[in-house]
Amino acid sequence: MMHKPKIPVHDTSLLKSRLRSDIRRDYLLYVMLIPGLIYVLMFKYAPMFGVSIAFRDYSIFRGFSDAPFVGMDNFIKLFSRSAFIRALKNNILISILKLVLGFPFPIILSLMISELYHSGARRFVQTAVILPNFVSWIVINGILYVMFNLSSGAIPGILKSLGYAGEITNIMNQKETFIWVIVFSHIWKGAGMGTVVYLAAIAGIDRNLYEAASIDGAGRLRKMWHITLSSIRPTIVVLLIFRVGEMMYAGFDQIFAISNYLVVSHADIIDTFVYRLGLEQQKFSEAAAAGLFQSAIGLVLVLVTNAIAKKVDSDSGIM
Amino acid sequence: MKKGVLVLVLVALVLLPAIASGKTETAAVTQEPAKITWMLYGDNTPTEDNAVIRSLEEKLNIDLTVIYVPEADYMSKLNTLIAARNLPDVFWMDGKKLDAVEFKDQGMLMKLDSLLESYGPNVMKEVGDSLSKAPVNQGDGIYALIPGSINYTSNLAIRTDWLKNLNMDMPTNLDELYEVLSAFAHNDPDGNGKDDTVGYVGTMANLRTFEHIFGAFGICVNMPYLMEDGTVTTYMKAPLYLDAIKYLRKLYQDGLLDPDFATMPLMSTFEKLWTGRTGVFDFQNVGTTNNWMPGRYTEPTPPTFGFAIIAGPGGKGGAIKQYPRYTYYNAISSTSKHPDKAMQLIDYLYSQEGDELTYLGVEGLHYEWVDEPNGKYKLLGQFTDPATYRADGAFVYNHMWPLVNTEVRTLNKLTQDGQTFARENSIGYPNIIASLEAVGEYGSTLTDITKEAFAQLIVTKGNVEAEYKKFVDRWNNEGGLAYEKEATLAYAAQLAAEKASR
Amino acid sequence: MESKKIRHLRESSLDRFIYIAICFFLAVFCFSTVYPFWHVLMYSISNSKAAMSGGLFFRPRDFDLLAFKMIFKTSQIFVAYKNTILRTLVGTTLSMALSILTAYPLSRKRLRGRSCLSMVFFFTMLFNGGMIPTYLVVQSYGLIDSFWALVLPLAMNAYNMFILRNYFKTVPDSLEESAFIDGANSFTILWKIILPVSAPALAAVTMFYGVYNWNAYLDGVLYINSTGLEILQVYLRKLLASTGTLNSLSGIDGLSEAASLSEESMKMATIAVSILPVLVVYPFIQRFYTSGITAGAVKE
Repeated sequence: MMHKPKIPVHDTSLLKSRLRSDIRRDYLLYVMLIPGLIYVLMFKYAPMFGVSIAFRDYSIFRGFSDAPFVGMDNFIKLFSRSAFIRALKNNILISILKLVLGFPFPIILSLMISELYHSGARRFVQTAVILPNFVSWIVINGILYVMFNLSSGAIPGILKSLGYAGEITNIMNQKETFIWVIVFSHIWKGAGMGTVVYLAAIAGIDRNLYEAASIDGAGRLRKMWHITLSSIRPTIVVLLIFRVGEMMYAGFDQIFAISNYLVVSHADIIDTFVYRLGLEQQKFSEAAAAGLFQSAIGLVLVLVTNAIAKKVDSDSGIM
Repeated sequence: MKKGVLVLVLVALVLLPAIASGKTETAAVTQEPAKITWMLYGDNTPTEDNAVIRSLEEKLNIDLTVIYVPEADYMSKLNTLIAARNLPDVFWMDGKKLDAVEFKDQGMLMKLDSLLESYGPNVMKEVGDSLSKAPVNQGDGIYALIPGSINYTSNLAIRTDWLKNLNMDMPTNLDELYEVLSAFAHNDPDGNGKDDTVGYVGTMANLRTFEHIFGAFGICVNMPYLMEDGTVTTYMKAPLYLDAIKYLRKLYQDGLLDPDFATMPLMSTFEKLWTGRTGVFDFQNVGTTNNWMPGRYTEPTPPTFGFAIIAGPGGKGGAIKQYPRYTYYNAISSTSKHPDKAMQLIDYLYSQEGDELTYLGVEGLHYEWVDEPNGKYKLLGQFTDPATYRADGAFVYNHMWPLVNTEVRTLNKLTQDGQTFARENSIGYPNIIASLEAVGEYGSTLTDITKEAFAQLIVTKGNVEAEYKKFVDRWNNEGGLAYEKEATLAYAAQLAAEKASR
Repeated sequence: MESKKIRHLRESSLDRFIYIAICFFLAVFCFSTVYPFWHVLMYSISNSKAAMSGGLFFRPRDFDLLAFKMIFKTSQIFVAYKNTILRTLVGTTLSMALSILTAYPLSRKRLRGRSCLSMVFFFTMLFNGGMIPTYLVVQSYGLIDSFWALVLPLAMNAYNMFILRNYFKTVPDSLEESAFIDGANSFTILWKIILPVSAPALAAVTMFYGVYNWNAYLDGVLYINSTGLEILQVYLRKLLASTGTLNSLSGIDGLSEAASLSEESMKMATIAVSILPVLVVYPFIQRFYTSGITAGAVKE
């Protein structure tokens, strides 16, 4: 009764009556949805009138209704700022690196953690890797400084005491190396939180599958690949789609905290640029335009990824 | 069992918020004191009910609620409250970050002329003459009040104990400064036998740590610059800018400028001073020789400091001149139900008594004078602990600094003299009071370019001149020329107006 | 114990090698993640002056709890703790209820209009009205400066809801079907069948909401005016800056030792104060998704 065979329907009245009977059957499910729908309408959709300021010349003193409609002016202004274009380019590069190198890492980490025999060790490791998530980027910046600064830093100190005589540079000061600091510190900080969902998915896998595979003589790698990884694939797909949707957000908190003026030309991203524009220059309309641009690109990316995912496996994806 | 848990959770959900809100309805009493809300920024943690607020309430017969916002988020909160038309009675704002004229034009600020007449004797005494210089007050009346004080000037503090150890004199020009820095870095100035000292420590986290070196070249770092032909532009385009950069470059290349000046957090620069790693430090001396002395310094004998003025090619030098803060506003919202009481509150803050109350706390409870004419006081009982002291409201509401008089009076002599010395030797810049459209349009982009140039030009291995030219071109093209044009006109107009009023 | 040995014996040498490589990698990675937190902790219990000498921290230098004494000196911190604990409890409970109720219907393939409805929720992940419009809406509901302003605006996060939905999807239809035939309604099925087998996902999402509520900061600044409703993160942020650059009062006669406390020590201590409660609660939630291997497994 759950799986209706797909039969070609020619009779619209039959279609309608089936629709009606389906809805009647599941009316409690619709009832369940009501609180959530009311919530998003009240707290998420109600403020969305604010999106319109991207097309208006808004000032906090005049209010929303009095802000004159200016069409695409804010977008044109934004894209004519060369600093924005620079930020956009940096943003795309940083996002792609974070996605390609960063997305698989929590999966691999989860697989590793789930391989540990001892449940105490498993719990310890999982707690340990989640710790950086609780330390803010400002603090991590301080620790990076302690590690890499040239006058009293730990790394230069170690290098010198090992007798290294070549030139030592601070990787936080170099345009070429800084992007890798961004990418790897991001991966490092987020990995622990990333494992939570995957581990939850792994915990839901039927243990009998592993027993059966062991009896068939499957090795560790084969079990990881064929059982663990394939079981959590739907989770991976959904998280990947979300992640792709965030491409235009390259990590405000991180870059705001660890960037500096020697590397800013390679590290400024849309959000840090817009932050200065909005807060220091009161350009709320342009900031909203940038936000809308980010959201719209995100939406397109999500729809495309979702469509691809559905093509590969009709049951996966988010919609 | 499970149902029990569920019921428990539901009951908790209903009850908890009631406990949390902790609001008790006050019974309606006739003639109750006027309710006044006062919003200011500050990074202290006073309790809701404290001695200073009670004292203000009694004094003015008001029911005072203070909205105390962390400084970093003050503008976000104020912006939001403006947009929501939900302003407190009394609040502070920075006219450089907010278009106060538009604020006034939209009718959201209370006109203060008649209130000042009735309730503002102290305000008029302190700032009455200069109120009309504020851009927001140049229309049809007074809408915002400005502080009666100016900011502290920077001092180049140099450790005199180290100079003595090395048998050196206080440096007076750039060459001598170089010698001192070199000796401080290499000749073991503290005589501990270890190579643990460095030369110049400055950070881009606060460009004020470079004021005197730029001052030697007649430049105010991070400020507008007046060219000989009357054009107002960025300090980056000053004729001697590249010379200043080359001096810093030389320090950098010779290992006398901390190589991490672009990444070092401000606190780390202070720590280098406190722990005796550096003996040259450019900052407000309220820190170096007063507030941090002696508690913050880690050496067994606290250091001794003298203040230097470094002369450059023009034979002059000094720190950035501080001007009256004509865009630093206290205002009353037009929706205030008790503007009279709000004005009385502000007026009290401008009085000597109010300044002492908000800075030192309640006399006899928090502190008592030891030698009042010389600004010596001591804290009492449990309030010698700063946390307890501030939790009870002392010091924490003084951040709007209408007067700062009490604080200045209570600084030690070395610090006070240092301030006088620095003021006498400061370097002026075209301080444009009016808000410029070009700043609103390109301000942060232009500042970013100058900061990027600062960092890049000091460390670059390429051709400095060529790179400098590129930064100037970029600045020009990104709105700098528009800024120059507008700033030049505005400054000329400002000078003309000043002349006329004289 | 015995069975473990047997398992070891049965494994091929390649498997053993992989296992050792994994252990080695995890050990190195854990060191890198634990160290910063350790640094913070050790710094916070060191004497400020000794701590300033720089470099890395493996143990405290001149053990000193002054920073913590300063933090817990005033009564306001307990007000702040109370508010944050309450918002975390109430907020997380409410969030979980809303998310479960939304995720379950959307996880059922047979539900008509599922894609459309999912889209309604998904859309809120990408688009939002911005800070000021959200404030106006919250104000129009009369929530400003009330406890509910800390709870309701953040009550449901579409990302977390989708994680739950995805997990509910993996519960086989067969389980539900038999209950359906027995005449159970959807609420009973959700309560009796879906939730019990979804413990790992519920724990994970509970943790996400809990941490989010615990760490939320800006809503405490924007929506709250009265000191009585101040939350921990706002309190700590102020405390951190209050020792700030020029404001330390060490120059005053008769001031106690506290004047020598540096900003950095204070910062480290506030971080510790804000994280430690989370770390105490964390293991209780964590066990559901790291050791729940058999407990939460679905038997078919």
